[in-house]
Amino acid sequence: MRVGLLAGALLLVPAPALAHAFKSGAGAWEAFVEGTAVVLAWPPTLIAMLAMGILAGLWRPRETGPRDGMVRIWPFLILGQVAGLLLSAATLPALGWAPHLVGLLTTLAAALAPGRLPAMVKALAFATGLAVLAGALDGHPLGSLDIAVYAGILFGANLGVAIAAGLVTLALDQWEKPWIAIGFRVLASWGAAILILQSAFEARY
Amino acid sequence: MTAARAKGILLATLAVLVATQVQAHTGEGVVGGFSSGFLHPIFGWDHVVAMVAVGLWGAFLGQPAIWILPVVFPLVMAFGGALGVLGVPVPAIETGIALSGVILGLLVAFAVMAPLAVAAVIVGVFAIFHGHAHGTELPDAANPLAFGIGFVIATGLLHMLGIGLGALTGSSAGRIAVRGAGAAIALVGGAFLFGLA
Repeated sequence: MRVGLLAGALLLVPAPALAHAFKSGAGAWEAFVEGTAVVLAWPPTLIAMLAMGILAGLWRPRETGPRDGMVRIWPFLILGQVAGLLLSAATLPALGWAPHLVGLLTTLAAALAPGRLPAMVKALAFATGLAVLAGALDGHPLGSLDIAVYAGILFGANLGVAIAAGLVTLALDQWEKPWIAIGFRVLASWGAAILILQSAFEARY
Repeated sequence: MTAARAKGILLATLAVLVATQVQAHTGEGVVGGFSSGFLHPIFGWDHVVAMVAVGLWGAFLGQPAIWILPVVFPLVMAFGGALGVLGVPVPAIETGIALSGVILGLLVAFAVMAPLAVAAVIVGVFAIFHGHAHGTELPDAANPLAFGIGFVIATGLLHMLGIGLGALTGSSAGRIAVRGAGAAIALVGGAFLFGLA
């Protein structure tokens, strides 16, 4: 419920356009906050991260422990972020749409088949890291921004996933009711629906 | 069903039926967009009865349909909404919406136990009509994303209302009441279908 409210509140923040304009000449702290805000305030990256967090939280591997979903996907998420950072040098025109596509796949996986295919969860973690970084840096070639902006983006990109995964894990541990997991799956499906509409709005306007 | 649960369902139903004041706002900005989107499914009885019927039918079908149908509906509805936003025409939208009330109402009234895949396809097909109507009727002044979030959440809450009422199927009297509600939904859908509402 709390993650839903948080997601709802954040989603209502006005979204910056694609190819975000970063301010120049700001101090290191302002640049860090700006980088963090870009991934947390743009609906496609935010939904992609929250969906990945829900998917990680709902994956409760029996062999290593029920709370290990986030720990198991984190290396793949970071690898994806590094790939996304490097890919931003290419400035491919399609990168701005990567968070929409990957976010949609992740929300669908979280809603329809969470935790069933570990390889798919890891692949989606890699793709989420890549898409969030590449989407946030769309139009800004590698090295063109202050280092603090990159640090902020990386911080936000990990924070969004970790908080969502933590809340899911906490809720599942606290209340061992099947409807808790179902509630998160329904939330993920709402995220998918919002992403589909967001894509249509961006294509139209 | 416990007395506390019954009281909760009763309170939720009363809260939905409370009349709201007329608003003169045109749906501008984020808040206006959200409220326009949120109220769009709620102020259209043809939408309301169909959404509630999805929840009721899910409750009749039991696990896992009780949650799969409310997961499938918003996904396909958003696809229909995207078609509407992009101006892709879909024929007989209003007929499809009215028909959804009739068919889903009858499925509840007769407690039809369809296989999950069939139920998902039926619900998904009707969701396209509902989504297209929401997408097409997006006010020009509204924040589009906030409008979309509003109608997705309102739709989900209406499904939950249906599932909540569907909890009555635990008792034989409750089953009769829910099937009666299904018949009423079919009648409302029929009224829209034949232009009486």
